[in-house]
Formats: sequence, C-alpha cells, structure tokens
Amino acid sequence: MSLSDEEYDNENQGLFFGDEEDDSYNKDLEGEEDNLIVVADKEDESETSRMFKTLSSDDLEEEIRREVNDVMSVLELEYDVASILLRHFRWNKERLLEDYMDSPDKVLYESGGGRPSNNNFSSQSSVSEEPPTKKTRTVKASRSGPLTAIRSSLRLNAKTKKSKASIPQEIVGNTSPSTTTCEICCDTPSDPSSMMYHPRCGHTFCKSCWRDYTRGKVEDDRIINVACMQESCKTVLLENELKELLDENIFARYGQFIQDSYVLHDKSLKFCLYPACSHALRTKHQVNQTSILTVVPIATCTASTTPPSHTFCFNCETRGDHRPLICALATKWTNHVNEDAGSVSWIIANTKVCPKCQKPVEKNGGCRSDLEIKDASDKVSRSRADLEKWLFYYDRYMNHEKSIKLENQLVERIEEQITSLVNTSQMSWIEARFLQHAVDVLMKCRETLKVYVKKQHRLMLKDVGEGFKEGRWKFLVSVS
Amino acid sequence: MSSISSKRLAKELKEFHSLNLVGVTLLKADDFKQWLVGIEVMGESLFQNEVFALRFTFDSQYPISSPEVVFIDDGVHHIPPHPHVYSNGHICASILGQEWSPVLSVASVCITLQSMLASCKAKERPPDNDRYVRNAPLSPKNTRFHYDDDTV
Ligand SMILES: [Zn+2]
Ligand SMILES: [Zn+2]
Ligand SMILES: [Zn+2]
Ligand SMILES: [Zn+2]
Ligand SMILES: [Zn+2]
Repeated sequence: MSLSDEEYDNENQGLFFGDEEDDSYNKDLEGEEDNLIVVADKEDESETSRMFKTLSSDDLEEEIRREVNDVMSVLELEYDVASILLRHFRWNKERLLEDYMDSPDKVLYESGGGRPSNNNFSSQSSVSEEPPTKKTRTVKASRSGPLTAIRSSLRLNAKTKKSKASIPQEIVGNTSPSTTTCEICCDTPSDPSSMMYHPRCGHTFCKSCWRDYTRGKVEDDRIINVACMQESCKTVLLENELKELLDENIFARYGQFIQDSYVLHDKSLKFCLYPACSHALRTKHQVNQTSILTVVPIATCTASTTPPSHTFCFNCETRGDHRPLICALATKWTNHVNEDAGSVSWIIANTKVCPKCQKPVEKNGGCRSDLEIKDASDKVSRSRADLEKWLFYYDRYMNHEKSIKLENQLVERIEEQITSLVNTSQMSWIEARFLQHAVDVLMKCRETLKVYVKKQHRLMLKDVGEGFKEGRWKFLVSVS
Repeated sequence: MSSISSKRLAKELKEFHSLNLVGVTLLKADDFKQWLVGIEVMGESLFQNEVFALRFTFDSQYPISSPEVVFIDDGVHHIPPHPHVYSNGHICASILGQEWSPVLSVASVCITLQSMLASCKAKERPPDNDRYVRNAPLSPKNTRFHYDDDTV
C-alpha cells in the first residue's frame, strides 16, 4: 500500500518538530515519579562528540543528493523524478524501492513523478472496484473558458485515492499546448509563445497564473511536491520547472523546505535549537522509552565556537544541559516554573514576610498571624510551608538563570577587553584568552548549580531525613 | 481596477447564463466578492422539490485560491441534512479543499454539490457534527477535513 494524499498532506502541514514521544514518556512517569530518582551521569566531552555529528546546510544538501542519486541509479530514473518519488515516500528509500519493484507505473502515477506517457496507469488498471462510470457523468459544456473544467469535475465528490485513480484520463481536461487564452485568468497574452507555460504534462496556462499558483503552494502551504494546476492532473512540477516559475529567493526557501522535510522524517536528525543556527545534528543514541530513563542525549552543535554554546537535549528539546536530571523530570520542572511564573511574581509583588512569624502575608492586609494560627487547620500551615520552600528553590533557580544571562553579556565585554589587552600590552592573544576561560568556567558552574537546585527540590519533596534536609538547605543558602 | 478574480468572475457570470444549468440559479451576483446560488436536485431523490442556497465568497486570489462555499439558512432556504454537510452549513468535499484546482468554477462546484445531494441515501448529519460545529472556524477553508472513504 502506498501513501494516500491525505497522509502526505498531513505530513507537509507540520514541517517542524512534533514531540508526541516526549509526551508519552512523561505520561508513563506520571504518578510513578515519587518512587523515582533516576540520575543520569554526565558523559565526558569526547563521548558527546562521538554520539553526535553536526551537519551544515551544505552537508544536508549533499546527503539528500546522495540519497536521490542512489534511487536514480537503482531505478534508472531521471534525477528530478527520483527526487519527487523520494519526497512522496517521505524519504523512506526502502519502501520506495520495494513498492517500485512491485508496480513502477502505479508508483510513478501516484507520486506524480511520471511522464505523461506513463501517466495513463489510471485508465489501464483501475484501483477502484466500481466501474468509473458510476461516479462520473459527462455534461455538455461550452468548450472554451473556465467551464470546460466541468467535464472533469463531475465525478461525485471524489473523496479517496480510489475514486481519484478511477477517473479515465480522457475526461481530464486536455488543454493543447497551442491554447492562447489562459483558462484561469481569461487573459489572451499578445505573445503566447513566451507568455504561456506548460510543465511536462502539457497543461497550458499563462505564466503569471503559474507564478501565483506555485508561489502560494511553496511559500504559504510549504508543499514540496507541487502538482499541476489542471484538475485531477497529478503531475508534480520538477525542480527546474519550479526554478523557472519562482522568484530566486522563494526558490531558495523551497530548497530549505526540502531539507526541513528530510530532517523531520529522520528520527536521528534534528535541527539545532538555537535561533538563527541552520545546522542539524545526527545522533547515534537509540532513544526509546526505557533508555530515556537513564540516558540524557545532550547534544552540542559545533557551529558555535564561542559562548553561548549550542547545547540542548536531543530528546526533550530543553536548551542547555539538564543533567543530572532525566528528561521527564527536567520537562516537569520547566512546566512547573512556567506555570508558576505568574503566581510567583504575584506573591513576590503582593506579599511580604511577616517579621514575627516569617510567613508571607498580603502587603495591604497586615499581619493577622495570631488569629490565623489559631484558626488555620494544619493543612493551611503545611501548604504555606510548601509554598515557602517552593519559593526558596524558585528564587535560587531564577537567580542562576538571571546570572547566566548577565554572564552572557560579560562574555561580550570580555571579548572587547581581550582585544584591547592584546592591542595595548605585550600579552599575546593566546595568553589573553585566560580571561575568557575564566568566564567559561564560571558559566559552567552556574549551569550545574541551576540544575542542582532543581534536583534539590525533587529530593526535598521526598522525605529524606531531617538532618540531611537541613544540611542541604544550609549548603544552598551559602552557595547562592 | 480589474484584478484576476474580477476578470475571471465577469467571464464566469457571462457564461453562467449561456450554460443554462438545470436546477442551478444565480440568486445574487452583483459584485465579485460574494454570490448566492440556488441549487435544486432534479429527478428522483431524497431532496425532491427542495431548493438550497449556496454562498460563494471569493478572495482576490480566486481562482488560484479556492472559494469559500457554504450552505446558508436564511429562513427561506435550509441546510440540507446530508452526511457531508454540517448543521452550520460547512461542506466536507475534497474539491473545495485540497483538491481545488484553479480550472474549476462556480458552475462546476454547483454541479458537483448537486450530484452529491442527488446520491444521498439517508438524510442525516455527519457523525461528528456536534463536535465539529462547536469548535468550527468561521470559514470552512480553515478546516482540514478528513475526506473519508464512504459510499454516499
Ligand atoms: Zn492566466
Ligand atoms: Zn498537468
Ligand atoms: Zn547550532
Ligand atoms: Zn531532555
Ligand atoms: Zn506574622
């Protein structure tokens, strides 16, 4: 069975990351997490670089070209046709080759890669069990103008690839290349030979309609297999046909969309998460539901040689290095922080700590502690204590986060300092790098502390011995 | 000012009259933004002697982009109970969505919908009608219908 258009279109719709799997990992952990302290060890740097490979946009293009060339030589097809087939099969080469061996005409017809000469697959072997006449009627319509299309649209509400494949080729409008009036805009260009255009299927319309149409399909719909404008014509425009019709910058984006689709359909590939970075990373990690409980695939894109380093988790797509936390806990923390950001800032803005009892009270309310303590149930005071603790960790975490941001600015200033140092003193550029190294170390420490705070919070929630808790608490107070 | 869409619609309008489609009448077409078309199923069918009204809304990109087509309920006309027609008038038909081609026209859409009604076997709403209508976007063009296989 081959891909239906429906599937294909859905694929095209979201070219960017989907993270259904991450959700399922998280779901599996729900409720179970309290019994769970899984700590992922940090790999050393050589291990990280062994497990990930950074690919530039050119590398990707090269890789795609290799794949198409493979298909091209095995199936003895033209390059552009092989490329259409691969895209239609969502880069699944094995499945393409298998299906093609079974029925080359069918694959060529359904993917739109075929030449008109082998596009008559539909009329010779109907996939539909019903005779085509049942769903198709012909009506007398004026032969010219937009209404000619009625001939082909009469099939009732064609809904599936079955009924699509059952339309005999003869009814599909067969505009001859000599047409001088464009059926779409009703223009009759003065110089038909240069103003009219038809792709290899021969369906002729004016160039300006072709341009509008292909621009919309590529730019707005991000469709990479753009079919002919003629109703029911499945012929997909070749890359050089698109190149003739699209503006240069849109054609360049078209190339980008092809790469996007290639990366999207390869589970071991992902684009670097850092903005404005066009590199992709390929991993050797075999991430699955079990392994993700112990392995944290932290990737570092080598496109960036200066801080901030392009480090992110290949699985949960959290920026930075969230080890020793495993993904499920890291995403839980992030969601927690994001959800609570609003209420926490409200608490900070609207409450103060009562000097007598150290509890947050509403700023305008004044302290009614004596009253409250008597009235409040245990539950209330316990939740207050929890809130206080949460605020403590939240605060520490946010402080580290803020410091990291400030240190990023520091890095830029250090760059300047180094340059001026080298210019004004005898110090060599390499010697002056020590400044930068110092900042790098500082930032790494921050990152670790930030994650450590999260971890502490998790540990705190579990009832570990009181003394231990106290010790950690004091430790945290002193480091931050 | 004559955009592609108004030029094309002017031509369609002229041809519409010469076509003389049985059971398809233009109710209102005094601009190139919105048309109302009455359709009636001829011959024997579940919708005998009933006239429905289709509202076509065109944007400036028509016919490169598809028209928005819905059945309307204006007191005189009602929304046909049909497994592909939601109670808000939205129609699940592939030629109005991903199978739209710029060579199609108002007339060809009307004829297709006419035969969709003609072959109706049961006057009922789509199974997911309530759920769809509750969350439906204003224009059906923003819906990605699932064109399921069925025997209607
Ligand atoms: Zn044109
Ligand atoms: Zn064509
Ligand atoms: Zn990067
Ligand atoms: Zn992760
Ligand atoms: Zn107090």
